[in-house]
Amino acid sequence: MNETQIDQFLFDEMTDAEREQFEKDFIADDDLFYELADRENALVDAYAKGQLRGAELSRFEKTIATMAARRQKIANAKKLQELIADERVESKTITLAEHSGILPRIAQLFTFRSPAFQFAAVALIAVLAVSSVLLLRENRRLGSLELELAQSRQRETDLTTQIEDQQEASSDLTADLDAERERVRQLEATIANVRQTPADPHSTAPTIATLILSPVSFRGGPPLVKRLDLEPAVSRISTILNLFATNVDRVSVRLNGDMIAEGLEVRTRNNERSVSLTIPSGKVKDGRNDLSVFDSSGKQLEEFSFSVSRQKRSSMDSTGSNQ
Amino acid sequence: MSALTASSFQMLLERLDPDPSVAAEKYEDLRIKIVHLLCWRGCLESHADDLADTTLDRIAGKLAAGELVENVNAFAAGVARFVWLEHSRKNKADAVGDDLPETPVQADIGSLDGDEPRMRCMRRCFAAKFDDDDQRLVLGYYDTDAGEKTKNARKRLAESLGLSLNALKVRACRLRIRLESCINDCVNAVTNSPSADTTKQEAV
Repeated sequence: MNETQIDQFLFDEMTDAEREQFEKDFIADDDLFYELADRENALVDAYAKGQLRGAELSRFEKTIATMAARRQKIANAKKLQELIADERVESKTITLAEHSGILPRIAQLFTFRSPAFQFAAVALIAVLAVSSVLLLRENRRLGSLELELAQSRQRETDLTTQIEDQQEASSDLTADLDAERERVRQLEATIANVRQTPADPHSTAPTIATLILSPVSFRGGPPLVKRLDLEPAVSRISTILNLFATNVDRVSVRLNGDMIAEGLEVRTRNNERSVSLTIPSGKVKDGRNDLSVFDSSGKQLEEFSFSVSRQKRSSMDSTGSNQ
Repeated sequence: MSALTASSFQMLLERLDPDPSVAAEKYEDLRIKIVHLLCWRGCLESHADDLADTTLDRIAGKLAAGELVENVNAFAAGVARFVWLEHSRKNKADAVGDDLPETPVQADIGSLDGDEPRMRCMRRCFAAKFDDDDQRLVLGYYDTDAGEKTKNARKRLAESLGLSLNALKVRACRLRIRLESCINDCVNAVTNSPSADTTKQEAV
């Protein structure tokens, strides 16, 4: 018996003779009878869920009017589907069909309703959260290390600059020390000559005078005018000019309006800036002398004054000049 | 109409199968088939139960009367048709002069949707008539939301129960027949009146 005959019977589309024969057949044949019952259940379920379409729907609907029992079956089918849906949601029943087979079980793991999937999702969220915290901590630590590195590099630069300044200062001091040693050696030689020969008061006099000057209006007080007593034997004056409020690297110096030095390097020592120069003693005059410092554009930066007194006997007053 | 006697009933069972237990099963199967035959001819299931009993009683009476019956099943189909025709004619005669239509009314499926007693009866019968295995089988077999995968799902269900697909189908159909019969009886008892969608006349 094929499906077409079964549908013809269920849709009441057989002749009386065909129907009588078909009834005898399914009464005698269990397989045919349950094939009929199963097909009717499928049609009724599909109709109850609105899944019948086209000719099948119209053929089925014609039988609803003539088969009272079919109307009851449709009502029961709707309730059965409600029951199945309720059981599926409320008790989360895993039907036997879903419960068997490896592939369905694997598929079940990845459905949103599966407890395994939900557990895995929660675990994944927890792992991601922990990872995020760790990454945030590492990121902050990295930022801190980078900041520390930058600070270390800055300190390195500062220290390098300080070392270079110290080396430069040391070089200057070394030069001064060498000069002093040379003068000591000359003095010792002179002393030895004096002891051996009659005294010549002029031969023992120093040939270099030292002069350290600060700006005239230093700290706003009264002008400090240093006095320099020049022995007759002094041929040159080693001069250091302390400069304030200037950022230039090189300067020129005028003595009483005459240019005596150009392109002098301004040095920094212990956060103080200064220039040093040697002035021939013949350039200075008795009485007040003015030293003016200019930048490369000719702008006057500082002005210094000192007083010179030429003597026949070597002496320096106690106010600041020394030999 | 023949009255059923113990001897005639015994004769019917012996014709169905010499083994009394098998005969009892076959008797029940035959009764179910007769009920369906009547329903597919347009009879209400509640009436079909009574008419099926009438049919079986007549068969037993014929056998007891010595009528020669070569094929009980084929004979039962013929008797059932006559019983249904008698029932239909009687209903038509009863309806003469009444306001009831001679032909069945159009199906009012919508009125069945809000049938809360039916849902309560469904739950009651589902819990009372089936054990856990039967419940799982019904839920699994008739959960057709899987669409195209229904066949595969049923195949796996059959394998899990150690049944062939055909045996699974027979078992599911029997359970559904039992469930629907219980529901219809329950609804009739709850409403204490014939279903609203029935007419006194049922189509022939």
